[in-house]
Amino acid sequence: MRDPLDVKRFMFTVVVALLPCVAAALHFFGLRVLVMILVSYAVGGTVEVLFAIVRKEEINEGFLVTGLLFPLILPPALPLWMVAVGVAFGVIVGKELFGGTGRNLFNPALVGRCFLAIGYPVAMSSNWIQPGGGLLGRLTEYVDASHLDAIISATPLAAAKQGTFADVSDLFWGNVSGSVGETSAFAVLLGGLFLILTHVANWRTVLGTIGSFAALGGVLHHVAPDTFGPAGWHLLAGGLLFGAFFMATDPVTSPITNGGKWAYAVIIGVATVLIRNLTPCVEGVMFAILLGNIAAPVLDEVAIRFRLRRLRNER
Amino acid sequence: MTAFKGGLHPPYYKEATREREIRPAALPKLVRLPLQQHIGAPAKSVVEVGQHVKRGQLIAEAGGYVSAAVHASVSGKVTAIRPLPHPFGSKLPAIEIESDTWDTPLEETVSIGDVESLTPDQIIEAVHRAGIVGMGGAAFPTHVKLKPPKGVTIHTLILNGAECEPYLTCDFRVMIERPDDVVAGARLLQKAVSAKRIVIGIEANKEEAIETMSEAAGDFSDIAVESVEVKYPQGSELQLIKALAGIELPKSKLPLEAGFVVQNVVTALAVFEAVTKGKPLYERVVTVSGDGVKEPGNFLVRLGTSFGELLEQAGAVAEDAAKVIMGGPMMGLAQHTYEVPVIKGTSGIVVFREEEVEIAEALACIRCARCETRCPAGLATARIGLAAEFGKFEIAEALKVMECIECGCCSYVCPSKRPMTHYMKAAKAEIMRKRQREKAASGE
Repeated sequence: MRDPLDVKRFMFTVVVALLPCVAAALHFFGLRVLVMILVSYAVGGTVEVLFAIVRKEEINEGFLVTGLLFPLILPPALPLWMVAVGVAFGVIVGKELFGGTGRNLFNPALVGRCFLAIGYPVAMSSNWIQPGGGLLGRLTEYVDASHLDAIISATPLAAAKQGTFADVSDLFWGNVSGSVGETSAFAVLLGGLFLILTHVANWRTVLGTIGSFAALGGVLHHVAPDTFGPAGWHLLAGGLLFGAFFMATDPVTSPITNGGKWAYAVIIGVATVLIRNLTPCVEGVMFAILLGNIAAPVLDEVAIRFRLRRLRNER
Repeated sequence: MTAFKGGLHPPYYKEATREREIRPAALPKLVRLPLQQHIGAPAKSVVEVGQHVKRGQLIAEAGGYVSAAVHASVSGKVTAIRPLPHPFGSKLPAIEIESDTWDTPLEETVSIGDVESLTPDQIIEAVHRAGIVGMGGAAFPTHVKLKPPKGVTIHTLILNGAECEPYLTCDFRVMIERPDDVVAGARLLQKAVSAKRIVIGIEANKEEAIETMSEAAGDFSDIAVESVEVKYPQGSELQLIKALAGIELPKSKLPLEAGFVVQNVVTALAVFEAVTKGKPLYERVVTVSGDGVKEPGNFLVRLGTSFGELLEQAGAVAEDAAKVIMGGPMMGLAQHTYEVPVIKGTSGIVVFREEEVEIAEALACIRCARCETRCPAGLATARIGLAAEFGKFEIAEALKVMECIECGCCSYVCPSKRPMTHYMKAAKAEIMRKRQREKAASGE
């Protein structure tokens, strides 16, 4: 007897949970979002198929998630060839070189993004689109970097470094510039809660990340308001929520043990606060999660040793 | 109620047989009685090929302290004593008896006398003589569980009526149809171990059984019928103790050492019949179910009856039957031939049709931790599974794989369809072999 929840359904659940974010992105940034997703799926899928053929293995549904997550964490006007290069790098170096699904140390989508951020820093920090307003937004438009009137150079987080804070309700509904999928906190929460209710994402990881971020951010803002922005505002800005719900919860690259998950989540939350406010980096979620990924195996090791010691003492 | 940690609630599929009264199966033409039907040393044959035996006659005596005697289940001629197909997998020595169709019982010469005046030792002796083992499936010799180590006082006898395995309803039917005899058996067990009280644990979804058992136990103030949470593996010894007494015990110790004796309800019935009627264990109730059988039901079956012969009485097996399991689908053992016999621990035979049998290729572990959160023993299952997959049994051992109760929850929930329980069992077997080798080496 087997539980009907298999890897296929697991991965499809994540894809379904991402649909609100995709819808919000289409609304605010236009049809190019669809093209970015197609490029990501086509290039990443090709790489995946090639590895499957060479390894004589079946193609795993895991790519459905990586291939969709990746474009959602990129600037919406990023050149399409960079999307292609990034996803190829993420899948090859982030996943396949480690042995494929289940064996990778880092979140493949974040590996791809990290590569682009370091290789093409200007493109990765400038190709933002001014979100469309009104009922339809940019739903019928195709906006790329050539539409100079629609391109803006700063996200709310970048602007905040200069002391300008976007409106909280805009952050919540998504009427702000930023990466494709992270723009609407509302859409992220909608999909994220679905993931938690279906037990695909672990609530500990999400709560730990958001909780530690808010707690540390709140305290530091109180102590040094000039250096540290308001925690509630930061919670809704940038990729924190998207990262907490969709990236940090990747089971493969997060700890197995509950204790490990809490520690991992706190590392991500704390690191994001510190990177955002104390370094020239505007964002921080990406590096924070990659840092958490590095720590995950060690955290499991420690948690399991504690558990074994308890077993020995009790028994 | 205090629940044990982990566990799950698979679909129970008990509707097919829960209303089916226990009926005697037809007398088998041929029985094959394995010498190993229990945990422990195999029994030793005391008959010869060609010899005529009567029903209930001792044909193999216990082969040690942790062992159980075997009795003829039909009258007839011993036709062979040789390795024959066994539900555990390989061929194991068994005594084959061709029925003479008379079913002549052995003349009972041992006078039981007044049941009320029996001493604990007399009860244990009767249980031992009857070859009774735990009939919930594990088949641990019952008399061993009735002799606590020196200095340990047994306080509680737990009667296990949880029956958490999907499909199986034999315990349920026994509790419905023979509640007074079950309670009388429990009384004898209680006396044998001088337990202060009896707690009967039954899953909350078996309301009728809770009712009949409460009624049967009604007059006694030291018997409590407790409804326990519907959660697999509630019927596992350690989990049931946790649910009823709130105490977590390690797998490495017998519950006996902590003052608990846990006995299955069907075992209690067998004890009742053995002690009051001198009846050895030569038949048992078996649930035959699954979509692969046309007329599922509960049968009183002579031990040694082949699965094939019994299944025919359940309206034959569907043409596309693809998997036959002894026991339930969670912990049961898949069979490769219908020739295997019903043994003392055969609580059920479940047959699946082709469409229900999923032969999925195992994928890589995605570390989702579902197995760990369900593990009633609280083990680092994902890591043990990986260690066992790659033959790193010393890691599995360090991670306490020996505490595994083989309940199958990890396999059930694994989205990658990994044979988790198989990994656990393989690691345990390998570690046992290693320990035996070390023991042998140090003994020289």
